[in-house]
Amino acid sequence: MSNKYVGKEVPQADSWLKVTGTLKYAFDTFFPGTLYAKLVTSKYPHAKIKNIDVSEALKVKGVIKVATGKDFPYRLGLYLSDRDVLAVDKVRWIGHPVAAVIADSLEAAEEGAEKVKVDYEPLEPVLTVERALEKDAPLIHEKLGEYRVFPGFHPIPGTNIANLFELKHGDVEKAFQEDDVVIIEETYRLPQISHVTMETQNVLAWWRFDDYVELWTSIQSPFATRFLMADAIGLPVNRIIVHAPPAGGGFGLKAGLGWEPLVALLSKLVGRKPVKLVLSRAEQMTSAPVRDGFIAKVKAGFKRDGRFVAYQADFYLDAGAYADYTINVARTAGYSADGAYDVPNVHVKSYAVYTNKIPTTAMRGFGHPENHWALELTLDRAASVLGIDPVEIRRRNLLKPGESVRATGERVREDEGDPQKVLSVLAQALEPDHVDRPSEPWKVRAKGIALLVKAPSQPPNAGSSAVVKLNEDGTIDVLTGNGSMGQGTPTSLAVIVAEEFGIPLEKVKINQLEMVSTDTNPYTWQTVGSRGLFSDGIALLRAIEDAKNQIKDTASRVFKVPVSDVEVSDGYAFSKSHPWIRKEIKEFAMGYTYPDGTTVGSPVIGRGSYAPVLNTFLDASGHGSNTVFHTYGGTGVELEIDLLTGEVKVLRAIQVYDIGKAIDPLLVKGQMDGGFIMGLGSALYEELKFGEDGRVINPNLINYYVPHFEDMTASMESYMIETPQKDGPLGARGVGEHVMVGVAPAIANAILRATGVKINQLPITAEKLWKAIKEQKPELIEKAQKLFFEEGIKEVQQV
Amino acid sequence: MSFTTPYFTLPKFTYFKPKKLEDALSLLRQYKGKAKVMAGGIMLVNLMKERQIFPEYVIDIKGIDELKKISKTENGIKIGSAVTAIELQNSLIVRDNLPALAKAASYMGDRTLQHTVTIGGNISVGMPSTDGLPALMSMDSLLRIKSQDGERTIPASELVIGLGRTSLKDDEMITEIIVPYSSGLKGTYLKLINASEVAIATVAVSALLKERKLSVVIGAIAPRPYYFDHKSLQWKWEASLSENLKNASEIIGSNVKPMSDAVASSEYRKEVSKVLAVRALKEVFGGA
Ligand SMILES: Cc1cc2nc3c(=O)[nH]c(=O)nc-3n(C[C@H](O)[C@H](O)[C@H](O)COP(=O)(O)OP(=O)(O)OC[C@H]3O[C@@H](n4cnc5c(N)ncnc54)[C@H](O)[C@@H]3O)c2cc1C
Repeated sequence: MSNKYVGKEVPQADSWLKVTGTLKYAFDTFFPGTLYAKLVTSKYPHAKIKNIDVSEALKVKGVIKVATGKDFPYRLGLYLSDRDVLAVDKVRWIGHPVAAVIADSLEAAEEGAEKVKVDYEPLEPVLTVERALEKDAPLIHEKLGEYRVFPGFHPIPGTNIANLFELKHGDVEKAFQEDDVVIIEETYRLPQISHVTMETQNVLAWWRFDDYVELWTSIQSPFATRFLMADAIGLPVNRIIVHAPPAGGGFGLKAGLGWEPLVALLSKLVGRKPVKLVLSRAEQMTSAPVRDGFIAKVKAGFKRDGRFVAYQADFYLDAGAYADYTINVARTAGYSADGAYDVPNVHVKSYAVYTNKIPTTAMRGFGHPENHWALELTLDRAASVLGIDPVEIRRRNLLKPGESVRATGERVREDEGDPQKVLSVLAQALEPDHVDRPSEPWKVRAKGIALLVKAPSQPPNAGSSAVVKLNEDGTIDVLTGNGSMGQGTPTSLAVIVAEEFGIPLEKVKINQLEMVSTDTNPYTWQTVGSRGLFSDGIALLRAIEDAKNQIKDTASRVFKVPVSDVEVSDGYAFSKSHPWIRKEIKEFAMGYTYPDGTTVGSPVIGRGSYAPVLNTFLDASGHGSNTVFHTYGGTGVELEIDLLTGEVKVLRAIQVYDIGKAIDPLLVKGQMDGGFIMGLGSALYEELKFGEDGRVINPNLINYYVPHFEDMTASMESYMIETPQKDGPLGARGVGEHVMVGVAPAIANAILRATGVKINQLPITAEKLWKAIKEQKPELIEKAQKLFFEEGIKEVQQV
Repeated sequence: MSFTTPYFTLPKFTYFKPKKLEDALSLLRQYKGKAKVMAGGIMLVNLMKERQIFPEYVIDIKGIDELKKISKTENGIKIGSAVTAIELQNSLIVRDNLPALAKAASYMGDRTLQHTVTIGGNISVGMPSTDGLPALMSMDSLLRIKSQDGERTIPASELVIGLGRTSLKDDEMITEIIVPYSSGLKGTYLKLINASEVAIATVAVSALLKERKLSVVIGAIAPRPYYFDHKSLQWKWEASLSENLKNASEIIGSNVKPMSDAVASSEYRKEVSKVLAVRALKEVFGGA
């Protein structure tokens, strides 16, 4: 095949609409008569609701109704039904929605919300994981035992443990006691961070008079949203119609189920009028979920030669008030704790723990920014103690495709990718041993690396499907269920279709660039876990094949040759044995019509679907086969540290991933650069800060800083390794999340290597690094100060 | 200042946009105590959205031409209070003669905000993290303040009297900033933020050198900026720069009492104040 598009740099298909500001997001959806909803939220971290007085709110002109938790006695959740629609009986964090005011204007809704009076009886709040785990800690979810639990999860009723996952492989205790084993023990932490999607969560819902519910919502996974909502409120699945326009960012925030049930129920409550809820940034960062806080207590054993022989880790994810999604983040962090390494003895316990703080959910990387922060830092600590090079210690321990077995018992596939190649490409590009002179004598230059591996964390039956429709003129409409949120998957799918049929890319239309609707698009489980291109791509290739078979069938009758002799490519159906017998595929699109009107065949519509083969839930020891592909990668950084102020400037970023096949390298590069910058934000700046009562004190983008243009690292290099995945679409693997995982560990490792200073907790703010240097290596600052006062001054004359 | 409330809308208010200064001053008098001047509106609107202030009347001064001029005479440079941060950076008068102010203006929010933020509004906010005041103080600037009763002129250093509080009366406004120098200044403005753009400052330092006059102003570390000059820094013009810098940094270190807040601790602020002051001094002495 000619490869006209696959492997070429194709810009995203919706770029024009985006740069002209004309792409329609959920936010832009509006119907005449739409009402506005505003949340009333809790002022207490943990309290009983004694009374809610809505009388004053109802007096505000324009206010139509005020809903409270009692109106909606449903339980929501993806893996655990621990969420309420609005708080019932008690509140569990400052920001917990207690009531919703519906009004005919936003002004009235906001004024009404101010006037709702809630009487609370404060309860003892549980604000840290440490406190939550104490025997006498108050329970945040007294009815944990009554919630519905997805298979494979283990909440512990009567405690604040939303889930405990355990992984056992070999015998760590024995390994630690062996001679010649050097032990590294550390506690690592990560703060809660926000997804900071440009488009905040928003939903417009209309509970129609025929009892169908239509939703326009900014989400990643329309089918999961539809199913979870139908399941929770007891509607047949197809009574709910979810329209998902392109989302202004997702990053996991918009996976699973969000505000849809609330807004739909509000619409029903006010007489089936459309109702819209848009979260402000402050609401997004106080009332909606964020990424978990993380504590890892790690003990790792290495032989003197650098062999990684035992890894014991206790992970505690601060899940906040709700853990319906975070229990799977914790499980995933647990089962993939051994990363890209062949460690014969592993014991991990991963807890998702309730606290009276903002709830948490999925976020890009899904447990891997967490577990790799612990693992990749530990490797460099070991390297420095053992006097082995950070590249070398990794080289000695990497998984061997076709040979090694992960701690879950899963064999590493032969075609899984080439971790050694990832490492060597990274090392060649970065040259970690060659460090340039700093720009000033009181600064230090540093280089660091981190590796990673990640698979989608999904249920064993996470399926995808696709439809390919031929039109009269030979253009092709493509439908899959993948949400579009800037990641570019739809463009790559279009590239595959154009390539497979050999038609110009302009002739292919991917409908989800405008909207995925559960009524029109075929099913996809979720657009998460970097599974989109992989799973939908396989389904799409099957749909293409189905469509081609229909064309071949008709063409064989028209050409009067056997079906096996017909091929479809380059925009034609033709006979392989008599290639001059050929017709454009458009002639078969609606069946083939002879001059006299006789028609053979019928309109061409291809269907394809996919589900993982032989995946299982993990058993009580964390064993089983639960992945469809793994993507290996590595990040390298070169940075400069100002010893006088602790400021870190990343000068160069290197991203290397074995993605199987770069169907559209431009989009892959976009992911690598974007993921690097997102990782940089979490490494240096981002942290939700909590007040003494557990409230988020920086729910805005002034006090919570995310990277701006000036933060763009000057030099960002990306390397794509293409070791084909046999069952991947054209050999491809996913790469959307991976690209942010290695950034923070690479930066921390660079700092360790250049200064000997350990940083165990993000973000590495200038002050935090300065303090760490001052505590751990004060002589560095003293020397820097001396140089600072003397250097470059002698030759300067005063006036 | 932290922005934590969930509102999209503003409390109700009446809006005026006078074209003449007299009209603005008369409105301020008429609605004394209930009216607020709005320049760029960047802080004012945020405070209203946050439900921290509820002015019944908002008087927009961006329509008043005489507040938007920059002029240079032998005695100094005059800047209208409604001149924007972008205009400061683009003005040749400012760029060539008042480098510290041009640089400070480049920090007043991001590029987009800088088209809106005004110098008068910036200093009237009275928050430690705004960049205008340290730069103006280092240049010994004066503020011209008017009300219907007449006018008065105060040193820029007397504007802010506490966190978010100024010495302006309810019916007064700043009309002009007067920098008493028109050329020959060496100046710089340095800022340390835990970010690369638009974030609340840990410390900011403005330095000025004109012949044998030296001043260093440290902002963002306390409700009011700290002002040092060659006298308080015990500067010895005959001694080596290195010796002077060490000495000055010690004096600064023992005289500032920085606040601790969510941005930075007192201890760290003190250390980096010294570092930035030395950097700024090196820069004005040409040895950076
Ligand atoms: C995200 C963000 C980041 C920012 N970062 C910075 C930064 O790093 N550094 C920085 O310096 N600034 C920064 N700013 C801007 C700054 O904090 C103020 O918001 C801005 O300078 C106010 O200018 P303005 O012209 O908009 O004033 P306005 O908001 O119009 O007015 C502010 C106050 O001053 C009063 N006022 C205005 N003009 C006059 C006058 N002529 N006489 C008397 N009183 C007057 C108003 O009544 C009001 O009380 C930032 C702003 C934002 C939104």
